[in-house]
Amino acid sequence: VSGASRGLRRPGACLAGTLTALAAYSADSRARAEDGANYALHGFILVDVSFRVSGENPPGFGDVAFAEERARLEATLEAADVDAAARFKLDGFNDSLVNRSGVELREAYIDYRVGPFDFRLGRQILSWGVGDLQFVNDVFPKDYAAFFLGRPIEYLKVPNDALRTTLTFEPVAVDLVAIPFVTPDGVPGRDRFVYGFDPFSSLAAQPPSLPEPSWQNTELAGRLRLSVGETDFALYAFRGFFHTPSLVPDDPLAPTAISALFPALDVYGASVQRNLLGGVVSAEAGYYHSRDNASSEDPTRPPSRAKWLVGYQSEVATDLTLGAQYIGQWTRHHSAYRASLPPGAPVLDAYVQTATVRLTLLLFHQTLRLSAFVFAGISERDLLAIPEAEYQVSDRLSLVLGANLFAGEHPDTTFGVFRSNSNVYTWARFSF
Amino acid sequence: MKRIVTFSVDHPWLTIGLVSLLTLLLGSFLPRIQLDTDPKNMLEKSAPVRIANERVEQEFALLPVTIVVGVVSESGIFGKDALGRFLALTTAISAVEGVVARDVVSLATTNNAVLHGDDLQIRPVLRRAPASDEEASAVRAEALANPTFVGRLFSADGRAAAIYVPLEAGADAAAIADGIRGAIAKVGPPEHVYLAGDPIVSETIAVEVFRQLAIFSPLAGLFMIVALSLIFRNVRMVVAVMGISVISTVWAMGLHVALGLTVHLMSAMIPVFLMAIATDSVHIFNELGFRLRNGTPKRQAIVDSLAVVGRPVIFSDLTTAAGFAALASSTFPAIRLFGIFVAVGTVAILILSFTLVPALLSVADEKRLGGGAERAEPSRLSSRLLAALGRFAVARSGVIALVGLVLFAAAGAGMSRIRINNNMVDWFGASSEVRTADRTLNEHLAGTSLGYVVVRGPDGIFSQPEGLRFLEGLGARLANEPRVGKVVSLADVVKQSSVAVRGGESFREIPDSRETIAQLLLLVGSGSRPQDLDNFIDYRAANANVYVQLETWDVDAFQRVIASSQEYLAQHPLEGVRLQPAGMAYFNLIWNDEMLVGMVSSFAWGLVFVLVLLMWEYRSLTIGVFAFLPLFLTTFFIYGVLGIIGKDFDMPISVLSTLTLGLADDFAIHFVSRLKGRLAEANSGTLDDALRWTIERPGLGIVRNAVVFSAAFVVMVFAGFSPYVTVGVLMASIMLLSSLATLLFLPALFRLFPQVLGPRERTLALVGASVSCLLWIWLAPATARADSTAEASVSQRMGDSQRMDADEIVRREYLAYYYPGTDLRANVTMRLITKGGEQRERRLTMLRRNVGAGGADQRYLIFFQKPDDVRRTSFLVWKYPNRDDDRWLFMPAVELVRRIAASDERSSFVGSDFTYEDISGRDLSSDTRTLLRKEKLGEWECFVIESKPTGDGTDYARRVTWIDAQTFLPRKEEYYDQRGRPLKVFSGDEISVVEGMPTLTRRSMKDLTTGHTTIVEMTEVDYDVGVSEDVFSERYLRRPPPQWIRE
Repeated sequence: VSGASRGLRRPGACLAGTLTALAAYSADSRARAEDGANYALHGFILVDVSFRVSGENPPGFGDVAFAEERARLEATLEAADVDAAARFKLDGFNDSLVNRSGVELREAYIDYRVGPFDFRLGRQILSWGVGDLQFVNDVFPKDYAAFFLGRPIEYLKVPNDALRTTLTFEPVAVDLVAIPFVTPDGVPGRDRFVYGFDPFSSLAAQPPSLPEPSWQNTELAGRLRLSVGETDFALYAFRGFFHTPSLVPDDPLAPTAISALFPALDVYGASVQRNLLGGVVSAEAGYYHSRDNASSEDPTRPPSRAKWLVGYQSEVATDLTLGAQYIGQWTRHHSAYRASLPPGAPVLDAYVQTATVRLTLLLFHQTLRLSAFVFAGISERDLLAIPEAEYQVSDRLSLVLGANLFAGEHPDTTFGVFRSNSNVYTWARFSF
Repeated sequence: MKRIVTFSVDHPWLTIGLVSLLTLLLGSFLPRIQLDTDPKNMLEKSAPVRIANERVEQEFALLPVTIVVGVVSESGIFGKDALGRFLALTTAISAVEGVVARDVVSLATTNNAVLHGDDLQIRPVLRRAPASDEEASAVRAEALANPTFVGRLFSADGRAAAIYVPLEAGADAAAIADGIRGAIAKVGPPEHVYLAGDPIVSETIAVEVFRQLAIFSPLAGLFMIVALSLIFRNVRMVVAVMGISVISTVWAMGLHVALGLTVHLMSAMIPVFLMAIATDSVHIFNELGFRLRNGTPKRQAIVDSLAVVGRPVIFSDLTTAAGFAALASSTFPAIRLFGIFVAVGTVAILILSFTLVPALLSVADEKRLGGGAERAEPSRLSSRLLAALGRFAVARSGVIALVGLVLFAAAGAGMSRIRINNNMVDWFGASSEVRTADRTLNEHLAGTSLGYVVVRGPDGIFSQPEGLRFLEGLGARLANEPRVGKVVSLADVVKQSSVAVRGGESFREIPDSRETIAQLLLLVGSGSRPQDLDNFIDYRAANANVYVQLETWDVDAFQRVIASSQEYLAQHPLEGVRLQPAGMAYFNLIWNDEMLVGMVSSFAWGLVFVLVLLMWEYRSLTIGVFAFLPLFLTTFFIYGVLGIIGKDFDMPISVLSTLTLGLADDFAIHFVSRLKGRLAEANSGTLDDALRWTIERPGLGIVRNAVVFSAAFVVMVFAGFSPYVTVGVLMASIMLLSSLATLLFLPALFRLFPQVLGPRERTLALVGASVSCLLWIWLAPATARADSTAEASVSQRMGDSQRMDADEIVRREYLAYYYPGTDLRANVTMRLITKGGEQRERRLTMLRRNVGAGGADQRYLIFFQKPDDVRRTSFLVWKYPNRDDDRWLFMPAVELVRRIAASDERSSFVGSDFTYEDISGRDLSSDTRTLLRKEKLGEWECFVIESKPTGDGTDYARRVTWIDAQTFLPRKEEYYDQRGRPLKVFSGDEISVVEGMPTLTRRSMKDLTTGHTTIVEMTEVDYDVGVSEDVFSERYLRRPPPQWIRE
């Protein structure tokens, strides 16, 4: 009860954000300067709440898992005579649950296009690959906490400070991304999530030690894309670090503290996507080479793995789309990996299989979207189902109601670990 | 790398088997090769000049592809019999299949107006064979009286006459030329008959390129085999080198064909280039020879040789590949493909060097190989010569550097005199048929090359005296240009008819009154050949066409014509008048400029690429620059010589310049790499010793490579086709110059600046990268030259609409509705209105381009501006007439491009009442149609067509469409279900004429069952803005070109 009331107590910061945004909007949302340079101002106001429905709550918190007011300002500046633009997305937020207000710079980058080159420098969201909410070669940081709380999908992606260079000679394009500052995944925190299995819960957590920014630690990612009409091919490579921290106890036998490390990672992969069988067929594979744990004998670092997926998506009837994916994951040196783990630690099978299904139905001239997304862990016997309805009240206002429903036989599997965190979420967004 | 080599040595047969298998596999595609031999097609079909030219052709009913048949007789063509034969010849040629008979122009077909007493006759000068000499001289007198004929239809001295034979669009020029030759043979005139004109030249070039390629590339290969055998005296080594070049060619060309890409003239040169690049493997054999001579066991010798030569070989091949790959920056597909596949072939050569070569060597009989290597030991003479060269280079480094500088300066002076020009006729030998015909016809007649200057003004201007006087003055001005043979404009036509009507030379003037002019124009236009007038003026009298015949194919001649007409306009300004050049001469001018400039800028990119790679490889700015110098000097020097001897810098030369990317730098890379390797060895001695060693040992490989190569290509000097002579001369000189530059200038430079070889300089990756960025930015404007906007305004000529059937009407509707222009840019506002009056708005910017054969495929890029929560979402569609679209969606919130399913064409477009099909057009083949009637809908005359879908998958049973008989745009469409109840109603509410094209700028669709309505309005519609095909790709989906998406 206390959590819920706390979440609804502080409208002040939210109000300030709203006023700023409205002021900016009423000034002139779209203008053109005299010299031909162009600027535009946009944004939204978002109110987002998520309630746990399991009855179990983290110590000191109520049923409210997330409650936030957020205002976004998005400014775009386009240069007059060169093909260049700058874009800023700045969020002001007030997290009513933990009583924290602040600003978050979501994106801030400069685009420059010259000859066959496209450069994008600055904070940006990086994304590629052909999976639907399944990432093989897209190893850029993700915020699963945001995803599991039902926040708008763009918050699943964590921006990177990076330089992206694309060299295009149609039908071939090469992307090269350099990320000097390693950004970790957003990990569901203990203030918002109840962990089913948490061996280190009683230990003091050291602040995560990210790789120091340096030439050696600059993450590099590359993609070579070839599009021949109905088929898109791509090759991927990544050299950098795991973005999900490995938790390392200071003493494996009698731990007193844990630290979060980001072991070195190389990824190589490929994908193909084409129109087939009345829909789109995708396939993607990647090999994760755990550079610091080549022989898989170090329990504190992930072993090397291969991951692949096959997917199909089709519009089975007017405004009804069906998608399905099969995901396989294979652990290299599995016996060495298993042998290295301390007793009692969860062991991942040599082969782990997952399937996903997505159904989307559009109604009333596409103003009402009903969708269901299900992750089914075939090997791990766990499940995450996300039913969602989105209604566009007007061109500016949309309302979303959905749920994240976790289930699992075991408390130590991907979704099973969150089985006490099933939640219902709703958000409203006013765009301008 | 070593593992691959060891594997190949240990499993030679497996390696050979695998290579053969891959070769067979890729080779199996070769029979599917599609050739496109028209040099013009190297310029995209959608290039602005092509579009603009096609419009001018449409506007003035011109037929662009015209063969000129010239009849030349010393005794004159105005004899009784000669005229009879000429008439017969014209008739026979008109009957050849593929010739547009009604537009054949000659004395026997073109109308002339003459006054016979009070009787005005409009008919050809030569309408029947003259029965007597008197009749023949009457014909002559009448012809001479019409100055628009003199020089064009016959020569003033009466010794030559011409027949202009237009070809149907897309006709096979070679077949027609053969047909014409057949017709000539049938008539069998004693006069000389020549064939000239653009189709003949293009066709002959295509034939010659392949014919001479078939003769000279095997011959070059043969010479190469001989040279290789003389040097190595070992069959296996020869087989290996030749095998590499053949196999890499099969791989590259096989892949080229397998990807379904048409092989253009340029790609046909790929084998020759690969043969040249494959000689790089000579370095391997050179080193192997030395090692075997030292008594190293064979297996070890092979592995060791590849270990030391491996790095420079890899690197020089990669540099070559990168250099050629840089040609992919060209805007011309032909050049792009050429660059990419030479790069592919080079990578194949690289792979083969480390697999096939060691495998072949290891299966070689040890004794014979050893024996071969024994003999491959350098002869005393070459060793002594190289040793002497080494001593000289080391001792006289200062002098060499100075000579180098002087040569550099001289070359610079020469380069400033280079004349960029292209003359395709000059590619043939002086006594070749093409050139003889061209020369003879140019001597007698007004020229075989035709260009137009289109004068555009306000409506009616050219039916007024001042408009005609402008044309008269312009014509006189242009006729004074040195290489212009003849200028004909509407002014000449009017003056000629004035003479005819008013009866006397004294009336050869522009009448002062509008009425007189109008009468004269009516008179000319009412003849049996309306095209005689249509060729010069459009029906609104707003656009006039000036014929300019040129006596030369030099592109700068037409350049002067353009400049001169602009000057004339500047001196004689006329309200609202502007000029537009067109025609084949203009096309050649643009083709020349674009291709040549494009080639040169791509080549510059290649150079930059190579330079950056070199700096990267050697981790040093200075060594990178040094290693780059032989390439640079070679190129510079060759261009300098061209300037000094006054040879035009033309297409073949610009294409072949790129070869230096592949060749000139190999030597330097080998030299520098081996020198550095030697210096790293313990017993290398001083820098001078190391330099001498490098000149003597790897230098031998360099010299051998150069010799093999020049020997092979020097033979091309004897080809009768100048592009091939250029190949031969350039290849040999590149080899010679770059090997000399490597063996002389590099040692000199290293002696003068020994510190660069010292402990590694600062790591210059960053500097290199920024230098290259700067260079790219500097070069970019040249490559990214915006396609100049095509000229506007086309008059929609609708043929006789009475006789069309339903399919033809709907086809026209599609052309008018979905396909107008080659490309389109428009802002689209969709208002979605519910029954209750609640409104939503979708604002988007749409780019469209018609592509593919006949422009039947379409590409759409749709960028959402509103509503705000989908802003920046963009949508790419590749639409094909006969299969599912390819569709991609870019979601800005997650920065992700996704391919989306596109099977259901009947699903709603962004929630509106329009379906995807309504937006971009339903397949023509998925309906059967009947023309119900023709009726008035409001004030518009419409065809009423009923269409029934042939398959299922539609939400309606039939639809009835009212198609405007004038514009062919749909005015109304009703959809009915099985029981005949109306479902939806479409209405075309507003038609505006945009750049001459009627466009539906406002339309709506009402769903009668739900009461929901969608109104679509298009604003800022622009056709043919020059949206290039590249825009319809993931690159621009992520970030659309700002100039087109600004609202």
